[in-house]
Amino acid sequence: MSDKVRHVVCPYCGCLCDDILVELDEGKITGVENACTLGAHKFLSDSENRLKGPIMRDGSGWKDISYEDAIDYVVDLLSKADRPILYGWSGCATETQAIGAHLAELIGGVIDSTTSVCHGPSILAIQEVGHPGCTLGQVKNRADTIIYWGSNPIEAHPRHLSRYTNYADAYFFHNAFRERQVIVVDTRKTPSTEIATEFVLVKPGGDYHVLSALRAILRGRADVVPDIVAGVAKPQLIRIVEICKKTNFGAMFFGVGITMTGGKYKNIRNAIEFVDELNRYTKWTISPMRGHSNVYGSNEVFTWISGYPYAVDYSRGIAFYNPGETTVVDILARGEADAALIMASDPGAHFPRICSENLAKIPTILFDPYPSVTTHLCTLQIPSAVNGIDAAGTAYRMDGIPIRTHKFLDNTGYPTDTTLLKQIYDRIREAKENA
Amino acid sequence: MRLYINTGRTVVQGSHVDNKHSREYYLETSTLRMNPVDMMELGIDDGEHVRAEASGMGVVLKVISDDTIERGFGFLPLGPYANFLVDGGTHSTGMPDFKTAIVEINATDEKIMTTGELMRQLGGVPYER
Repeated sequence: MSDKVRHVVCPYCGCLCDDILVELDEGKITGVENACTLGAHKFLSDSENRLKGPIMRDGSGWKDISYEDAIDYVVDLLSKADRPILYGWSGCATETQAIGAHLAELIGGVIDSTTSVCHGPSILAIQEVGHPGCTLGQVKNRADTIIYWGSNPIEAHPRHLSRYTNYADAYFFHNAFRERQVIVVDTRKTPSTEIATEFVLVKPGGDYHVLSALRAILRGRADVVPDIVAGVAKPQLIRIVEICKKTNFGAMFFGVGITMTGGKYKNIRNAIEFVDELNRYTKWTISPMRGHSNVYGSNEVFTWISGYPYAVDYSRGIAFYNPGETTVVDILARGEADAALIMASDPGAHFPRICSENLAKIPTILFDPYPSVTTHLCTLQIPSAVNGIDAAGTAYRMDGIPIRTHKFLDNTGYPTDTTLLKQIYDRIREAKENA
Repeated sequence: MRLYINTGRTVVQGSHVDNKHSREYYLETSTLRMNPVDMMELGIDDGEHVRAEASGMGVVLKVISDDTIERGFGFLPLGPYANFLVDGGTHSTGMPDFKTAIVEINATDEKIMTTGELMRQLGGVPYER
């Protein structure tokens, strides 16, 4: 029997588009409307990509095991580990993330999310100088100038432009598309630079210099700015400052293009302070382009529970936070961890080589519905239901708005990661209380 | 030849993140885009292979030319091949230098490893089912 499900929330990226229409036939996804290429692939390829059940490394091969045996293994491993890391979480619902944070405290582990390898530096900058941000609804209806800095939304957040910026209808404009302008700052040409009204090509590693030059010009000290700053001609810098000052409502979005490069959080701090100074002339906001569907949620949840947004170390019995030391990349690079629980993420594909090498040396449990690069490195993989397809939960959009995802597929047979993690937490807690 | 390797999302890479054992993901994440003049200096054509080395470890990649990329730079979609070349240091920030790996590039006839074979080199056991 065919069916159409409306208002589905896409669980791919931080845009959390909530206008997806999914067509079902005999319980299978056969069509998707409104989603971008990334989201459509997520829905349409879901069933064929899923792992059928838990798998465990068996010498030089793999064997199937039951969920019961898999959970027994996890409980035993995490109970005995001295320096366990609990990493990932950005594809999990906040309900699962909360259990994860409590589990980390229970076993004296380190809990970190994919934040540390995407917008961790943005959080460090926000902790230094604050966050003059706003919701995407404000940007959609009011922003007449948009800056994408170190971000390629057409490939990474394909509907950001059509839902919230350049191509979106706006309450306060007659013809939003004609009245908005988009400035793209990047170190290379991308599909996003093609749609820019102003493209600023910065030499790699030069973002901090360009931001400093813009701030100097804004403060009336164009005289101290050299003719070319990191490949950008001074007249273009002056023009950009003028555009920004004449704007009624400006919104800057920045991507990992400036969180990962030299300067890290100092780049973001400089960008925030540029926006801060622009507010002496007109209204400007700045926000990170968060990648995973619920990476923002992990920061919220960990902060409610521990006081810190990521990289929280409970080994002292209290929450301790020191990015650079308690971030999972650093712990793995130092070869410190003796067990790993990886939740819905793929460090094998996205961590430096030394981290993958050390992950392969320790017992590693991977919760992921799909085989990934980390599958080759792990000891045990447990597939669970996918949040937004056959599981429901809360996720935070990139602007901090909580959105409830929907479960629209029944009877897939997969347990949710919330249920499995709760079982693990309860059993370890019970064992500790009875010890 | 020394190159700075930048990484990032591409539509093809992003469309196959839940199907990382697919041919599309393998081809996309192991293809390095280089300036055509740099390729000419290396003596390689579109589709030929190079060995990229950093800190004594190397990975074989396919190369395609891209004249939007400056000389001395390369772009490799994010994934296990790019991160094989990334150092684990984070300058005490938690964030590695993902987008500025400095690598030595040489032409080669070697084959490109699958992601499973690549992880086997690091001590993993390929899951090919």
